[in-house]
Amino acid sequence: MSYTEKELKEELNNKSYEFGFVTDIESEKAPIGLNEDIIKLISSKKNEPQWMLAYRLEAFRVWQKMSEPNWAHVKYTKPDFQNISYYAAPKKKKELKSLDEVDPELLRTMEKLGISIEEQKKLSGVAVDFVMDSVSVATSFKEKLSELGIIFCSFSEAVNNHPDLVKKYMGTVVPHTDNYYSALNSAVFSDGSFCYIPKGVRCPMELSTYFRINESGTGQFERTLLIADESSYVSYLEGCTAPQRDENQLHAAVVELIALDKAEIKYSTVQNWYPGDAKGKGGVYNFVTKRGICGYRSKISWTQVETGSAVTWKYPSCILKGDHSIGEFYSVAVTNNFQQADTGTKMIHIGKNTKSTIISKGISAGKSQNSYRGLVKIGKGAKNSRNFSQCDSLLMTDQCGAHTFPYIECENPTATVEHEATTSKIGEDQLFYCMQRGISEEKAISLIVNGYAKEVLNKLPMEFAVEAQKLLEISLEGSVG
Amino acid sequence: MIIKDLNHNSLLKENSKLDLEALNLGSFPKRKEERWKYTPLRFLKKINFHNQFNFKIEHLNSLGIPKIEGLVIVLENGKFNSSLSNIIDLMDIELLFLNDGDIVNNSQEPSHKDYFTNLNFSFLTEKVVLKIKPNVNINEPINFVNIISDDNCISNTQFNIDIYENSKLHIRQYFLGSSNSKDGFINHRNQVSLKSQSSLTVDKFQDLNQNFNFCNEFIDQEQESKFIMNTFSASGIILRNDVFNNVNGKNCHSELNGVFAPIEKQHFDNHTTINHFVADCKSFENYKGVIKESGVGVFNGKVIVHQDAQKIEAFQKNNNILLDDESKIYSKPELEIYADDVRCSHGSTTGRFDEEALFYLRSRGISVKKSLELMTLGFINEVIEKSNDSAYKEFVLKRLLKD
Repeated sequence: MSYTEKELKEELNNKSYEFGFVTDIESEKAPIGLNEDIIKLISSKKNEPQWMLAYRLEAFRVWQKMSEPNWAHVKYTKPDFQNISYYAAPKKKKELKSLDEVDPELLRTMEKLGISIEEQKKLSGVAVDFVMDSVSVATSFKEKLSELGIIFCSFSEAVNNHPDLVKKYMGTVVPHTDNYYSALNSAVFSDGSFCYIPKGVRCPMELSTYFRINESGTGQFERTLLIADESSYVSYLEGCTAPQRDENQLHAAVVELIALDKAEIKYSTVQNWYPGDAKGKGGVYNFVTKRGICGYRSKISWTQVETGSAVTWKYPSCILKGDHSIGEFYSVAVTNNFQQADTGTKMIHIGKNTKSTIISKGISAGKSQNSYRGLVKIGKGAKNSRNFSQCDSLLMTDQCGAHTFPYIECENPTATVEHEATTSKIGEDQLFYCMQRGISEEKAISLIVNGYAKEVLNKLPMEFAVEAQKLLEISLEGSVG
Repeated sequence: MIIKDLNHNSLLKENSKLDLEALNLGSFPKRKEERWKYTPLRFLKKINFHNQFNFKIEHLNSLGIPKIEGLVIVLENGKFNSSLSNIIDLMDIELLFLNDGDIVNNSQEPSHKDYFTNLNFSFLTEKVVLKIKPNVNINEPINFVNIISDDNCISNTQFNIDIYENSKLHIRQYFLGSSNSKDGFINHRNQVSLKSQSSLTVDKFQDLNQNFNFCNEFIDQEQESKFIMNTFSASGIILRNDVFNNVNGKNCHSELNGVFAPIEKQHFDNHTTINHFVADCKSFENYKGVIKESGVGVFNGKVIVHQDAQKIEAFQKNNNILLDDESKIYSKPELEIYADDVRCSHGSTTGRFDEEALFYLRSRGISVKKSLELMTLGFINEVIEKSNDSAYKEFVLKRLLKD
């Protein structure tokens, strides 16, 4: 990346939170609070069929009996679930067919985010399913995709247009009984993305969704369902930005990936929710359940760059059910100021000859706490399965914390499981080496950090790699200890 | 405080059966609790314990341990057995027992309270206090033997070791269950205090047969002290070791090593917590698991580096070998670090023996059994070697390999 020291300096000075603006669009909000009536309201607003409502209500009943988990290594004030509005949608005037019909205000927001739809359409070959406050308002490249039989639409559309697929797969990977936040999501999810890749199709472009919390005081409950049918391939990008807000906002998403036999899914995330200010005030609570299931000889690869959110609680997992299936997890998690992250993965080996790789790089700065929590479970029948985990932590100041909590459960003697972790700060000799060659301290650190995270950043698709690298540098602004 | 609550003891005399879950000692640990996630306490709950203290063992030789010389302290079924012990008068050593007056009242409130600590304090059957005066180097190891020889007997014992400045000691602990007893339970607690520049090595050997053994170890280290503990777990229905090592002074050395070899559905649990409160210390952990015949092994190591404890070097290692389809291992090496200038790492591996190495040995006419034994030996030798007494080493190896 060719951008100079001076530019970085300027950027660091001006940078509190780039994407902290609020779009002034009339929006329709559900009353504050959560009860069965609200769920019925959400469901009716979205013209959902009866089975969907039944599913929501069932999840709600389960949720009511659950208590919020507190095993994670994070401290925060528990959100008041009765003080959140569970539905906000930009007012829909009519069905939109072309961009001209889209609210110009909204178009400007997209431009500020750097994802101008026109440009995207013409140049990059990325289909953007733009989600703003829970309802998709613009979907591009749909026609091109539909020629190949690929379905890429908002979740509510899918519920109405492809109920058989949704019914068949929804809740099979993350059941509504799974955990507190997934139950909540199942009850009140507003919208999300749905994607289906038919048999033998290799998706020609990277599918991408921009999530964005916009309306103040609105919890966002996204739901993503991605199905890759036999021998298909898809690469999916998820990126997040959120406007600057003082009160804590809750984000409890559920992502389900289904890779059928010989299919491959690559799921990449750049998460840059509002992390709160330098004093630890505000910020987004990010409690996400992400999980994929692998069929015979299939592969799921999670790549994530986590720089935002006040509290992160996220474990993208793979259930390696089919024989010879492969699970991968590459993660860079950066925490600064008062951010807290408890993130990692679960690799559950069920099938024979399954393989998994975990590379997790944590960087903590300021007064933040960064934890890796991962499970590798080798089931009784997972013969000859193989796991390699590496979790490194980098500490930037003497007030932050880096923690590693790996769980290794092995029930098969033919499996080979390796785990290693290191925790250290940036080597003074490395720093000295760079500075001796005339590189400023700030730049040297960003060089070293980028090198440290390279293994993971390399796994990102081009579109994200550049952004992620820049994000890393910016997130660590002024954190040199 | 629990200790003063003598009602439990009187209650016990009237009604000698103990139902662990019915005792009012705080909540009985559940599988949902992180620390007790893997321990199958249901086996323990089923048993109705008593603590009538009979001495059954006539001679230490009958337990199959090598000849022990020097100072020997023997507890049997939770009481000091003077006929088996060999109390020689050593200068510079102070030795006290529960009956010697006020030592119960002197004991500190436990820093870590859980059900089994409470049980231990409330139903304390014997306590041994060993004090080493300053500037003494005791070369001969001191032996502490804790035997269970009666069915369903519960033994709540404590061993306090205080080592004063610049002294050095080596202790061998044997936790044994006689082969004809079953469902006995030794709930033991070691409390170690190491003053500055002192040094202690503990070799702990557990061979409980059909009995249970839980050990809580609390170690407090002052500056420049050295603590080494080698735990060898050979048999027992459930063995559980909880080590809490608090390093409170600079330039300390802490080392925890272990070999656990469960067979036949036995469950061996190893939990360690090393707390680095101050800077410039080193800690090492090395645990080896050899698991076969439906055995279950657990390693849960935790290193906590507190804020301002800079320049800590901590290393955790856990290697496990699974020898058959039904055996299981749960490994959880944890690092919790709040200081930046540290070098902390851990490694954990699980697998089986190299087929090629096995083939190499067999092609030279060595039987499968013998080959596996040789390879196990090679695997655990790294830890066994920490002991420099060849007779002791040989005995431990023999029991761990179960031949």
